[in-house]
Amino acid sequence: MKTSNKILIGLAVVVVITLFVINLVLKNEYQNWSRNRPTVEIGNF
Amino acid sequence: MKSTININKIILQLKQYFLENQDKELMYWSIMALIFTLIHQEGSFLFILSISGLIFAARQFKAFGHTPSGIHFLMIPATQAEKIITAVLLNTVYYFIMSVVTYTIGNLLGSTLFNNMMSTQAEISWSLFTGEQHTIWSVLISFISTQAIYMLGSLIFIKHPVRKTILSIIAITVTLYIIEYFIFQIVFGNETKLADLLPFFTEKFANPDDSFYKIITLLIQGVFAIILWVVSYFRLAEKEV
Repeated sequence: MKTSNKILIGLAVVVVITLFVINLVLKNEYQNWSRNRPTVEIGNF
Repeated sequence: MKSTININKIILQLKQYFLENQDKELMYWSIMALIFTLIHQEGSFLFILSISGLIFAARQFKAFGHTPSGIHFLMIPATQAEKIITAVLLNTVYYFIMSVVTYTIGNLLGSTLFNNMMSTQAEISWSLFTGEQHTIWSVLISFISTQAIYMLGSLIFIKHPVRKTILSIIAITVTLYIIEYFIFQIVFGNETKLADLLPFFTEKFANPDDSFYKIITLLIQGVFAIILWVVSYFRLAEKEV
């Protein structure tokens, strides 16, 4: 396999792992954000 | 495979480019200055910079689309590393500096003309440099990473590199979005809504007040650009006509 393709595949794997890590790190922040954000009920204006 | 870097050879390649394209470049930047005279808002500059920059970068290695030109390009007495550095200097440094210079000229001319025609004394807006929404450095780093993507696209796709690179980016983005959705569900559980995904991450990473995430985003973009330059180097070294 060409070196450039190997690096691209490696980069794709790193991107997916990074996404996973970011999601884990931001778990608490998401739960706070989800709890505190303003919501509007349809038909209740 | 030789990978030495000689500054003189890079300068020679740049000189050759400007000698071969001086009329075209002069015409192109005059048109850009005219466009910026007519439209000189910060948002228009960012839009024009990204669209015109991607076309410039994606056509960087157009020589490979035509076999004799491709052979001629590979025969240029410079190492592949020197050719990639020259390409990066042209599509990133040169293009960005020229865009900012033409924008500055266009903004000055346009605002002065508008003031004279309308008999007003409106102040010239320099929001691009004063950093009310984006700083010039964050624009530069985003530009570097997108140019690196399109330069690699021009090496991967021989025919129609612009449209094929754009289509590939759309396909990769959709795939990443789907992967991210599954990761989101694994980490946060099934009660997570798909509609939550974009607003949460946009608020987190695009928030101009949160400097920590802004720095992380810029750092990722910078590292991403360097990796893509390395991939471009290997792609060029492996190139066959």
